[in-house]
Amino acid sequence: MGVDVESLYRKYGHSVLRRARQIMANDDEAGEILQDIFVGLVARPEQFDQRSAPSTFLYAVTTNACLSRLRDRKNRMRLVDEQVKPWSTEVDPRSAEAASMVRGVLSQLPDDEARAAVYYHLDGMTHAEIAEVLDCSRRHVGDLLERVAERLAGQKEAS
Amino acid sequence: MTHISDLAIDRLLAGELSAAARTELEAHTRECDRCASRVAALTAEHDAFAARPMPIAIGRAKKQRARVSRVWLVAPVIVAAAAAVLLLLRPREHTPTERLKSGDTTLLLWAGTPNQLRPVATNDVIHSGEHLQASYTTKRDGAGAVLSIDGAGGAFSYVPATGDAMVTLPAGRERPFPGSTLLDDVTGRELIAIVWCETSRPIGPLLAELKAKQDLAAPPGCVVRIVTLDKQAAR
Repeated sequence: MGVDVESLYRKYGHSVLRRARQIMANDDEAGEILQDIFVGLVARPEQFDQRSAPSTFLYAVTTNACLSRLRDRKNRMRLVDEQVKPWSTEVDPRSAEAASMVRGVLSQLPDDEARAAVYYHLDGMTHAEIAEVLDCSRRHVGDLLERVAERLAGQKEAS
Repeated sequence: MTHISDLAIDRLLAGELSAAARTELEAHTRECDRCASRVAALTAEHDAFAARPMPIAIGRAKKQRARVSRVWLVAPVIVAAAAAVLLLLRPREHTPTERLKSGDTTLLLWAGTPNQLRPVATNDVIHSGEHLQASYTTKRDGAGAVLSIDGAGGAFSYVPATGDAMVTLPAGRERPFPGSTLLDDVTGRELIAIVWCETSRPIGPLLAELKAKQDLAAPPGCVVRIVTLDKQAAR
């Protein structure tokens, strides 16, 4: 079955844009990521194999695109220092301090830990939701978040 | 109190939630002002976004994609003609990143416009907007795939464009893989793996290995050719 990219854009584009804004803290770059993701889907629809829900797929793709862009441009510290916006979601009561620190250390985290950190501290997802998006076990999510917590603790001590 | 994540709300708005999950979420929002407010905010955001015009870039990409589909139909003719020219060319020396592991199976890669494809090898320059086409010569029926890691680190199966099964490749000389790929705007190092196997193999593990190692060892009964190209912006 083919991928109806326009329909996906209408249904899920808002969440891609919102999350890209939250992670990148930059409206222009978020807009570029939104466009890149959906243009990429038109060019290579096989990216979405439809084995997962579109929301799960697009959460993962958005997170990866943001982390990749941050890493590639080596601008993460600039973002942290110059224009970190307050996290806009207030859905989850997880520590705002932790969320801020997570943004600060994203560039130093291994890929899998960075993704887990984004989903937990910034998206406020449950372990079960993170496990679904990362396609791994809840136990592994717990391990990843534990390692992130250790790094955050180290960061706090150093500051 | 555990609050509802944005993911759950996004799923609600997209109609992905089961009836039970939806009922549970709605029950929660009746008792939780914070989540009710968040649902209202994301609903408004969703509705406003859906009313916006579709970006021009997406429409342009769809047109490009349609052109690629048409190229797939004519590609065999193009490759056959180009292959005839190639027979007159001297064989190129392969760099250490290219491997031909079988004497009776040859894998080639071509790039260019639909009317003018040229053979390419490692370190050659290709451009966004050009077409990429693989071809093969073998005495045995088999199956194959063309995989790629692009300059942004994305891993893709060019052939087959969909699904996890290799395409069937009947024995023949200078035959094209079924389908060419229109190169997108991502520039940088483009690593291509052309894979031929005696029997079909799932694409997923091959693509994962290529992405992880930036290389692909030929599985038993397979021949792999790795070509690393320098992809530059459209001319």
